[in-house]
Amino acid sequence: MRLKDLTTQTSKDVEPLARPAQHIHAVRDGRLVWLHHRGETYVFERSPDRPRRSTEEAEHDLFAPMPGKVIRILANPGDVVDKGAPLLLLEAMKMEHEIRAPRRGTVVKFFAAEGAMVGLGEPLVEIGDPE
Amino acid sequence: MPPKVLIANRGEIALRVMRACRVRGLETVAVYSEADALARHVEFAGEAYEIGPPPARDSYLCAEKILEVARASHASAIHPGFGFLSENASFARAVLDAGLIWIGPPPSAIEAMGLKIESRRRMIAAGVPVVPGTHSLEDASERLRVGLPCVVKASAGGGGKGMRVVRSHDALDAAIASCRREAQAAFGDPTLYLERYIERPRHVEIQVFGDSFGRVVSLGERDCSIQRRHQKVIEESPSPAVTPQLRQKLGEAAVAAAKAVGYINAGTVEFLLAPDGEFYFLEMNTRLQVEHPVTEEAFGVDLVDLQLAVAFGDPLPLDLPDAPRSHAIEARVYAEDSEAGYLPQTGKVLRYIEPAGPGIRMDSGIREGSDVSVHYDPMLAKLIARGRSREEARRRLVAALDETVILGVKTNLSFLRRVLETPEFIACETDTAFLERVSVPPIPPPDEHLFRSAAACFGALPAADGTPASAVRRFDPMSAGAFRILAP
Repeated sequence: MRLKDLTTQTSKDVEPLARPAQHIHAVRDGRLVWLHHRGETYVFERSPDRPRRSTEEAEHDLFAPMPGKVIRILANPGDVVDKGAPLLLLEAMKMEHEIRAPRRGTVVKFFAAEGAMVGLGEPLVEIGDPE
Repeated sequence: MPPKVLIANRGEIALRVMRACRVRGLETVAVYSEADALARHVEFAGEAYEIGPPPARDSYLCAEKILEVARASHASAIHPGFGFLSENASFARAVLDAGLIWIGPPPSAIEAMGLKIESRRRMIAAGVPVVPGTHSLEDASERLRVGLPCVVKASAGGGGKGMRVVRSHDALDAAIASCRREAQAAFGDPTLYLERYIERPRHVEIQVFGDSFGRVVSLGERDCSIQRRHQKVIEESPSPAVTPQLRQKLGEAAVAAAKAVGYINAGTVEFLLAPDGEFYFLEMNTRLQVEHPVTEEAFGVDLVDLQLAVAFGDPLPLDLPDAPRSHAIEARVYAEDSEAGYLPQTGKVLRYIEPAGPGIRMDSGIREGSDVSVHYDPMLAKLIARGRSREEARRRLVAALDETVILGVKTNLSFLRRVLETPEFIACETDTAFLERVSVPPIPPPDEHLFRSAAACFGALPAADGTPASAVRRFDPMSAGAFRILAP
């Protein structure tokens, strides 16, 4: 099997496994690899060598699931919110998307103000322990 | 010199219209935003003019700039495509006032059908059946008369925006407030109305065509029942639920609707087809539809060519087919994450391979290197398969979806294929609640072979000597935070 990396224009031979090989389309995009095989597309990243420092943040923050605009903030810092409580409205593609609390906790702060544009994966809200 | 047509749009529909112009020997003029300088529609056109920054309101929605380009390029006609200014009656009027040909219906017909409340009144007067409803949202007795479940809709709306299904009276006020905001933001008009919600209907629409000699014809139906968040995903013609007798009744109702507003050029009359066989007027789309290729493939007609012919003053041909010759199914390829609430995706297309074969048609606006930005609709392409039977068309579409490669941006390619392979779709059990009701099988997890291939692509490890699969893991941007999409 032959794999071609378009970004570097290099090809690699991959030894076929026991079953018949079928072409895999592959592209590396920085820290991601995209593969297409038998009608399915998969995205891979390198496994972390050690726990990422950001893992801790990830557990406490809500991130923008898509690029968009914060149109309304629905809670205040200091509020204790239940799981599923609406925290803010994000507008993308002219649709409203409600960002809700992943669990019970205290709203520590909002990273973006109403009217601000946020990019994919940018933190939106920090949520701390309930008390 | 042949007449020039300015195409006031972008993406696959701009290309589609330009191709039709070339067939007729017409020159083409493209307009584009700063984000689209390298877009396919720009290089395809005879000439192209930049009209502003990426946001549509600063470029593709700027009527003044587009008219200025028309003047500067000596274009004699404007085709609006769909979306953007296509159903903007004052733009159509401005085009006509500038002495140009408007490749679309008369502004008065756009106006009459543009506001849903007004069009409902007109249809009732013309004897076309409409869904029971009210536009007096504040009147408690009117609300009760509509009954539950009901649906709140924006009078200026479309495409599922500014629309919510409500199943309890308690939820109605919140739904109204949310729809008002969305309608104001998307259409600049917060007017809403309330309609009875017909459970498990099919969405069946009739293609109509009028010429300037007073003739209006219908060209069969499209079944657009497979929808997610009230937006169409898979469309087909003919509808598995429409008999020749029903096709004739729907066609007559659609022609009556079009004639009631003096319709000229291509239009679509949408109906809800209830499980009991009753049908109700939903709305009329006063433009070419996204899914027009389904009719083209099933009936063997070129709707955009007909649009050009009628706009330049020709009568409709007398030999248009009145029954489908083939079955056609279209799948809309969106940049979205189908596993995460159909969230729109953005990015750069790094690898792009189109399918081919008998009965396969790909209407695409992208290529390798295209940027999929946050500024425009996430629809990248439409894949259409034609067959002698529904099953042949379906199998061709499944195979073509399999063959299509888009890397660099998440798409719904696999989701479309998995929907088309459900026993329910195969058995024609389609209605607008299909995707809520039917469980679509999940994406099969990648096997170790793929993990090893991915690891090899990173170049970290020699590929041929048993690269451990653990060197890589699946990337999931959604795992970082919890989020929910507002229920429509």
